[in-house]
Amino acid sequence: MLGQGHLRSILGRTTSSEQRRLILSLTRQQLHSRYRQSVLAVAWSVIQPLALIGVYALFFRGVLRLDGGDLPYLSFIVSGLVAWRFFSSCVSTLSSISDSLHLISKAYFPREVIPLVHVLVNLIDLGVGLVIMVVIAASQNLYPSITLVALPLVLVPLVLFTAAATILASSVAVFVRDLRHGMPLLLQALFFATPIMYAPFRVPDGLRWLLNANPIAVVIAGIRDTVLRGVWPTWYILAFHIALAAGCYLVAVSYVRSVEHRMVDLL
Amino acid sequence: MSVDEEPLLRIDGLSKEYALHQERSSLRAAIPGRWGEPVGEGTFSALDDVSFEVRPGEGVGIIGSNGAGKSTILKAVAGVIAPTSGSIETRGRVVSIIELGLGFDPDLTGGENIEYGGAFLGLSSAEVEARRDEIVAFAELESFTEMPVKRYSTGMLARLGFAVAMAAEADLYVVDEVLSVGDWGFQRKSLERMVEARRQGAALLFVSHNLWTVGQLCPRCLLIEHGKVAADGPSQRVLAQYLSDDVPGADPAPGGEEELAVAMEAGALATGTSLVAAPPRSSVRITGLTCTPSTIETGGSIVLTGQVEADHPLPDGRLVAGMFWLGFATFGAPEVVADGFIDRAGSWLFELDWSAIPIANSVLTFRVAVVRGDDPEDPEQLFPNAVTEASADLRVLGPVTAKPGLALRPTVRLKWTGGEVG
Repeated sequence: MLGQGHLRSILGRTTSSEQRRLILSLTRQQLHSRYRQSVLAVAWSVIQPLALIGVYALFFRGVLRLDGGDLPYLSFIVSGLVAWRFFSSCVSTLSSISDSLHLISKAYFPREVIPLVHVLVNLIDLGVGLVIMVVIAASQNLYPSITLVALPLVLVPLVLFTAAATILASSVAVFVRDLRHGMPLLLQALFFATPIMYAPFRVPDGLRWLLNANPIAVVIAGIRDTVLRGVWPTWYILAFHIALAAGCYLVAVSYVRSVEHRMVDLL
Repeated sequence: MSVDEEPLLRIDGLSKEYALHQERSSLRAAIPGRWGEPVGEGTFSALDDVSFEVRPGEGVGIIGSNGAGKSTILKAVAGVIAPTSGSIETRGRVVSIIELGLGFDPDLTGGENIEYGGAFLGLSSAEVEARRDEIVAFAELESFTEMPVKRYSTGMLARLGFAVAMAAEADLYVVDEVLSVGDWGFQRKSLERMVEARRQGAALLFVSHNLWTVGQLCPRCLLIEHGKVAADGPSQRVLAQYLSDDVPGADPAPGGEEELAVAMEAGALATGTSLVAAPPRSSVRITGLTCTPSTIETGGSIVLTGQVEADHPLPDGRLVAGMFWLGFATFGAPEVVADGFIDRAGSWLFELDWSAIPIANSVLTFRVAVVRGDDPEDPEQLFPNAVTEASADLRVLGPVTAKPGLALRPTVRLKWTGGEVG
């Protein structure tokens, strides 16, 4: 045990296996704690999205008379909401690093661990949401076809992009407290800029390019294609967004690494 | 230099500055690189060019007044704060214990939290599982592993946290003032555990205000003053310097260093469970120091019994006794209780009756020493000129009934018990 290796700087000391271990442990702890606290916890992760879908369907369909274009409205909005909820729940945890002062001021670990734990915890809800979506789609006679196998690939940019946004937001929020107040507005704007409740063809032609630039919109289109329509996603757009999201993720991680040393001093 | 001789920790020119006036918006700090570094009107230097090394198996204490920078050093070693300049290098497994029970979730049980706490120390689940029984046994929580830790007492939580931390089998433990939260039994046990870890080859970097504990655990000591290393050397010398700096007019006795070392070892040896095994070097010894009973209520009385053994006459030898709390003399300075009695080789049984012990809910240490000649009446915390010394602990339960400063005089009975010394 004693005296392995040579001296090295404490900066970047945590090995990637230690880091992975900590992320998994914290994630398990979060889930453990969450399911220990409430009796209906597992049920809640089904009831909550169902209730939300019900309210949205009633309002947008019943009151605003929106439609899903070629798709039944319920399946249409569920597919959009599943992806959106994942993104917005993750990004809304932006005060996670600030709230973990008791941990980060007492032990070193790469600070992106904290937002990543929230992303992993939300992945469970994303999984539950996807199952609900497939069931609802089947109830509207949209049965899964072979194109379902492309779904994981479609979700790659969603998860990477969400992780990047969550890491970036939570590390900037350490320095810029105002971000906590601004984020709900930003999310609201992005929600309406993304074809979740309305069909993409309702977007004016001049703004159509926005749909291809918006990673969430691309992912939602991919989910609708692969799960509901049974057609393959537009590969070149998907490939572009996987690369873009991976780039965003790397930028976010290198950003937090370059400012993490100032966090404890400022909090 | 072979790998084994290389230090486990090397701190070189470590400085840490804080801006005195933080800008209201820290927007600027969000910018990576040089642009985001804080600019303020004036900086406060928390650490200034601190350099030292810790080698395998070493025990190094860090002492100093509040705000001197002790904890800043530890946080920098833990990687929690970044140095303004200088470098910190480590090798092997370094475990920083800045807070006990870090990463514990109050809603989860003790058993569950062992694993989550371990992950913060870099332990894998397999390592945790392999040591689970040991951890639970050390923490004495066998019947409580299924209880959420939010229902644990402070002491239970501290025991569990410490047990998990020590299970890491680190090459270097960096320990901040964490033992003070636990009770007397926990503190003793934790000290023993750290001594045991050192015996197995682990190094220790230990910050405490309890100078007695630092002296017991660490042969080497750093004194930090105003962010600088004011002294680095054998603990007895550094502790004496710190105490003499602290108390105007008191200077460490010349030539007392070696005897002080003996006194400290003897003291550690006699602290109930003999933390450090050292052969008695003095020709005069205090043996079998016992406090009866070992636990009392506030205001109770105790009898301190022991034996002075002398291989030679020591006509100017005096028996000094004092009550210490957290390493400091309390309720009056140590007093001479017997004088000039070592007129021949032999052994003397002594009994000191203390009544109306006023201190509350704490652990008192009674220290008895043989000093020589015209030592000042205030022999300082460490009895600088002691020929030999022993101590015994007393646990006091209950509320305070007297104000500090009240001097208590023990009544003394001394009996010569024979010329043969075994």
